[in-house]
Amino acid sequence: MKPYIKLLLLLGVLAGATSCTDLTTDIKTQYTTYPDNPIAVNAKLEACYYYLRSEAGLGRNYWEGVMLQGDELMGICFNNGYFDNGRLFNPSVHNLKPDTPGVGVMSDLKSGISYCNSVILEIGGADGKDKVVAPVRAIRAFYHFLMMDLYGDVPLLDHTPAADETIDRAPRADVARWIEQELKEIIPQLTEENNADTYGRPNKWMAEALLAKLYLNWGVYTCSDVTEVTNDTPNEKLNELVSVCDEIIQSKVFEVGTGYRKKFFPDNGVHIKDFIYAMDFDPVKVPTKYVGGHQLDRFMTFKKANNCDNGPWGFVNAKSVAGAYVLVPECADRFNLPGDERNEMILGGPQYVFDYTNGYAKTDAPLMYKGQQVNYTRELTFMDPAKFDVGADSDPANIMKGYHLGKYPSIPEDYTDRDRFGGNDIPIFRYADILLMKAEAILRGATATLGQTPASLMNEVRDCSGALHVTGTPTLQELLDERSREFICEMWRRQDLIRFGQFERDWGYKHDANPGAKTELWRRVLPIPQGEMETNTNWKQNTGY
Amino acid sequence: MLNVQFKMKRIHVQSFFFALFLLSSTLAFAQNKVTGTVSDKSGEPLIGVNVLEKGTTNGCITDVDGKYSLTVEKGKTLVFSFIGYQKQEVKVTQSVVNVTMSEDSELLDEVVVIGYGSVSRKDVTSSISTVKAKDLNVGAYTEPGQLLQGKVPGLVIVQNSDPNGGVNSITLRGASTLNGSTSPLYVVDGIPGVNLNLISPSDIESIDVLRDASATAIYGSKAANGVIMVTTKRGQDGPARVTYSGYAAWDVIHNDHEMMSANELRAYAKANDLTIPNDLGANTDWADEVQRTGFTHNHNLSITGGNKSTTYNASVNYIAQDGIIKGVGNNLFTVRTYAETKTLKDRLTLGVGLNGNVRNEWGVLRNGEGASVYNAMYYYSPLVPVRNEDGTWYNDQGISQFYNPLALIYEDQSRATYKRLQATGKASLKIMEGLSLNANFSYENQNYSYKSYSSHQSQTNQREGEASRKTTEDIKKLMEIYGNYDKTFNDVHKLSLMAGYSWEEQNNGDGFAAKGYNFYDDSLGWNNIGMANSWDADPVWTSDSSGWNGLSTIRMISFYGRANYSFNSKYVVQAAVRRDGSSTFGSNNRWATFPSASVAWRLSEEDFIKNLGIFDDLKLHAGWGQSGNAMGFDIYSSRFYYQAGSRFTYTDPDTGKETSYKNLNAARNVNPDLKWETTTMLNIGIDFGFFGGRLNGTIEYYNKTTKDMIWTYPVSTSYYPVGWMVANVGKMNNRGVELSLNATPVQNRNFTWSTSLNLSHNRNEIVSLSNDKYNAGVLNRYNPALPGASTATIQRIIEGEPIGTFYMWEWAGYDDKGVSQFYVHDAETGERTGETTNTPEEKDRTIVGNAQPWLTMGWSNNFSYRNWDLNLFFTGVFGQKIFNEPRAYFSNIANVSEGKNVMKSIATEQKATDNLSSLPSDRYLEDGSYFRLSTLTLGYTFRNFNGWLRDLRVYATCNNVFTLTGYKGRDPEINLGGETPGCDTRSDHYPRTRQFLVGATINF
Repeated sequence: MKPYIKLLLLLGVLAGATSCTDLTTDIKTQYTTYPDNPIAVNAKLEACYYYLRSEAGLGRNYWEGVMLQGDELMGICFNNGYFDNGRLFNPSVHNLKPDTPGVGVMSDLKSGISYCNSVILEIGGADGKDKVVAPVRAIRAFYHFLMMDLYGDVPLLDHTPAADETIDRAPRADVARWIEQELKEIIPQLTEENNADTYGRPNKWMAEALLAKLYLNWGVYTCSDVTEVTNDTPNEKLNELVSVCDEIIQSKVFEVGTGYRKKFFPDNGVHIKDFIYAMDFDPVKVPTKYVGGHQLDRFMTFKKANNCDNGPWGFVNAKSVAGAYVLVPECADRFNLPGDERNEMILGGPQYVFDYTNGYAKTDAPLMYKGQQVNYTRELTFMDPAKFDVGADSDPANIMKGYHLGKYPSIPEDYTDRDRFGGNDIPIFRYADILLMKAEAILRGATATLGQTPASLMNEVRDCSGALHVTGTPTLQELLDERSREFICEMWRRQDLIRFGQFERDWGYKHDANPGAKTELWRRVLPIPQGEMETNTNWKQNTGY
Repeated sequence: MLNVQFKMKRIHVQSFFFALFLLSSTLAFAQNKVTGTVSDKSGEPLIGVNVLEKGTTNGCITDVDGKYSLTVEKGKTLVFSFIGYQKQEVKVTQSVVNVTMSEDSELLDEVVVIGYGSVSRKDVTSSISTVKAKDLNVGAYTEPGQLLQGKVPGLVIVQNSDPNGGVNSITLRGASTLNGSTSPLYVVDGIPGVNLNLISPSDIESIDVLRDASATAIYGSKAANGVIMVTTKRGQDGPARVTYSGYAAWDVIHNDHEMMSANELRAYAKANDLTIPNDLGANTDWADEVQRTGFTHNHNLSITGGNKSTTYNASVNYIAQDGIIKGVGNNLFTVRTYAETKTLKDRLTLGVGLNGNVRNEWGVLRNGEGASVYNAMYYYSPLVPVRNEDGTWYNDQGISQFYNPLALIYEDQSRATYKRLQATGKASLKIMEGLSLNANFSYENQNYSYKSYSSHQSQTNQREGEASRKTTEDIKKLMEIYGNYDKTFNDVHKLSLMAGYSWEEQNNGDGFAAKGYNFYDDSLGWNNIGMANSWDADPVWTSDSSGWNGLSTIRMISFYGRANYSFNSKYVVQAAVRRDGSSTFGSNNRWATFPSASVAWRLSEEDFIKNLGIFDDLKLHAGWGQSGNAMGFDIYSSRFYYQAGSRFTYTDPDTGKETSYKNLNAARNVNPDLKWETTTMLNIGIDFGFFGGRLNGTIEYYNKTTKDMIWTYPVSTSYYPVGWMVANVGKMNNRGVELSLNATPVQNRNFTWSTSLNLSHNRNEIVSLSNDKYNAGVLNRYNPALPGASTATIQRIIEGEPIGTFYMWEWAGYDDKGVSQFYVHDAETGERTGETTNTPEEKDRTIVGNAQPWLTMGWSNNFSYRNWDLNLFFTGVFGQKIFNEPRAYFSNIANVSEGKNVMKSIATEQKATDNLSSLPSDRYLEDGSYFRLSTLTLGYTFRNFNGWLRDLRVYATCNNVFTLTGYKGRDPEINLGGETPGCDTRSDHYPRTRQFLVGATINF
């Protein structure tokens, strides 16, 4: 071989070897820098608001962990089916554990807060107080509120922490005070508009409603020991509660309207004037499982809805359902007001089909399953009381135990197209709640304003569902019962019961299954979820757990 | 008939030899006549041995009595050569030269492929096993893993009878990672990372398995799971050789679950007062409806040939397989070609290859929550018919997780097609004696397309016909340049040096997927997705939950070098180093160095051992090395990007027009320190040989530690927007001993018995998983989703324990109501309190065993008698536990009243009162040890078939002949790789089959 060929080859090798050390490759299919586009900036804010629209967030786990603790719905199982390590049973009998799925929402709340902090830092100016981030601060305050309400002492994440910063749990009272301060600061910055554009997003009214909720429970949150809370725990914010309610009332933006049930139908939305702030579910626009839709009806409906001749809502569900949430008997009893449309949600005794094509009107067609009319019994008898196990679902009698709740009815497509995901928006803050909060504040000693009395406020709420008016001044118990009827399955019952000192009261079969629930007052806050204890090794678990 | 042919053959051979003899005699004149007999070690004469005067063409061939006669001058050297025997040279000092030739089966002169070069077996310093084509497993196989099962110590392969399934798991010397990619690196004809599907088993010449890090470190960051070097058949100097090989195979299910028949189910329900909700009077055997006899046929035609400067080979292979489950099958058409020539006065060797194949796969649904044919064929009720009276599939959506298995097969169909192409180029330049420069180039392209259609009759999909399609393209370019210098000084100092550079770029996953639904009818199937009437909000997408993110570009660049010095093949030292860079990892950790060193001492060359006269070979070797694992990662693993989240409605402030937009969320927390896992291995071994090579073997000990294990850690959402981070934290250790023995206990002229046995023991331990920054927490794994326990997992990853540790409740028999009870454990100490409960909690779970085998073995026996050959191949795995999920699920008495079927055994083995029978507990944790006659092959070879053929071998094989095991499930050969080994899943587990195969190989 000629020498120059050798030389060329060697040079080639050397050149190749030295120049080809470049490891730079690009991601070509995803945005690696945030698009410089005004709508994209909007998207960034949007993501802050919908952080909780997921199974762990405000979805199934949340209802299980929070709603089932109240005296409204309880979770049953069928010959061990749906027992699932006490997933529904434990919250129903106040026996939560750090690994019960229902207590896991904390991680999502914190994750949402961390995301908000990064957005606030990016587009909120140096001190993060630009007007444009006011709604983000509002939702951040809301996430803190939920977290503080559920877990007691929680981290106060008002900034993006440095990597080596130690994050401790702040006392519940400090978090409450910080939320108050934040809300007061941003309320003037928030829009007063309430329309399709603000639906599901924080506006001034959402922030004020949140402030009202904070004030309503101020005594609970600032009491240094949660086990010492009683119905008589003083609340220094009652007058402020009235005044924040009054701002909303005087705005005339909201009204309770007429007709109760339709507020919760699949087509509910911004046109419901009673909704101040709602979780906007739409499984068609957002087909992601557990994000765009929820499965409340799957759990609340008849266990064999899909095997009925005609289903509970006038169609046969295309997929099997769970039917594992039934009403605590005493809860059903509270729906006893004459003329009250809310009574129609309580499904007890012989069942008739509701027609989804006609506003879910009750028809005279009996709901038939295996040749017999579905007939729910008020009382439950258990094959195994230690699990709320009603027995095998093959026996029709077993699946007719317990009254059911028909609050968030579904449509056929939820089952045919979407794997049982419904699109009923779930309200968080309602005008009716504002009225009843004000009524409660006055009953507890606040000064009445605007000529409104506890009775007039309660009657305004009752007018929506055509219930008989209350006469004279209602008692606090009557008010609490009214809240039970009005806000059933809106995830507020646990909070109300704690504030009224009734969380440990006996109801349903709770104390039979877990006698300790009577006296373990520390159960008024949830355990810190297992995963949080593992990733925040400097934290101490809540007392008792 | 056979005898006749045998005689005929002999006559042909004799006349052929005689002609040659005459020919060679005429060449020799006026010289000394040398005669002699050539025999093998057992004294049997060898027929047809080439006898040649060295450096001349003067030669002859031994006759039927092993005798030869040649005229040659005294002082010259005769060379005796014969295929299968060591070449021997003898100096002519007298007129009778008798020669005894020894077989070269386990030859020390065998060449071992080591990556960027090869060495002779005696100079190997690390642990490398070679499996020749004739020793590979026989069966309707398409993957090299299947061919190697049981053949190599330390290489644990779990097979799958699914024709589309290949191997379930392949691990070498225990898992060295938790990230799931435990597959070794495959190097085909020197090209690393080649898609193995491009090779037909018939094209394989031999496979070398590099088992310890001192050998694998030359492949650096890709080699932590070991390296398997595949050498394919190459053309040889000589006339064209044409070989056809083909087989047909039939598969039947082996040891199926015994479910109740309709009458048994009715009787059971009646006896135990259970209500069956769906007795339609039918008597359907669902397994029978779903299963069939599987059939496979394979044809391979290859042509090889060449002359002194140019060689070529080409082959075509076609295989079609129908699985034992209706609707499961594939076909595969493969072409391989390669040509090589020498130019520039034989200094430059150039080679080009072109390989391609097309594979079609048909599959059935195997999803969770009942939507799996493999599950439904057992749970579906025998009391209902297959079809309704109007011909439609029987359907009962009222029962949860209940799908007619035939509807799953016929109404939810899918097909995957792979088209692959590989072009290779090789160049080797001999610069001077001993010094060569080599270059390899490879371009690979794979097109994947997937189609599925759920019809109007689908029971899993109510969207009135739904079609989805996905197509992606992967392109891989590789260039390697390396130089070798091999020189022997003074006959005893052998030096080999190698240095090289490689550049590789992969562009994977380029493509998109689409879905549309609501068709007028089913006539279009998946063929025109554009005719769908309805679309989801995102009908087209380029990322999915499997980690596919569309086009992903990965570049890897490496520098490497190796030095090997051997003193008279007595003392051997080798050292290698590789520096690897990859674009996959965090910006702070893209480059890493992987060193290795090893030594060997061939004691058998020392006089004090030689004088013992015991050992033919005795070698001590020790090696240490590091290799990495970077598999399973792409550019999306360590970099920041935004992913599309849910949608929001944007209202244009000017027009008021509403448009739906996507949110953009941070996809991950970025870890700029993310790097590869590093595996360090120490390997010590002894090679020995006795009785003239009739018995030889190896004992090896290794200790392997993987550090910086990649794992997804939960992180506090107080600091990060996403609750997890991929980081390098954990440490895992594997220690083990391996023994392999090869022996030829009987060898004479007509009968030979050779046997080889390998035993391996490995102990896996997760040393640590957390550090001060990342806390793995409680790592519960594998949720079998059993009734009443939908959140209960059965394994846990625990520091100090092996992967696959079963962490479950302990069954304590029945309580007085006949319901299962479980031992209560103290929340603080974890000890049993002595109490029992019906509602076991998380704290009541405890370690009850693990899925790691204590011993694995492969034992091969070859018998040959004249032209007959018989092979018995046994495999065994001992000491592992298996969770029998099917038994837990199909023994659930509640299934009866839910309208599903149950196992026959529940009538005798379960209490009908036990509504907790399905809770996962150690009740269903079983000893999975087994010993199996894996392969039985009987063959007969016809030689020189009437002069038309060189030879013809016909054979019959039975795979999975019998299994000795105490395991109550269908089959104890269960996945032993990945994060959750040892779980006999019910949803996606294809039944084990027994296979009968007949085949023929014809050399023309």
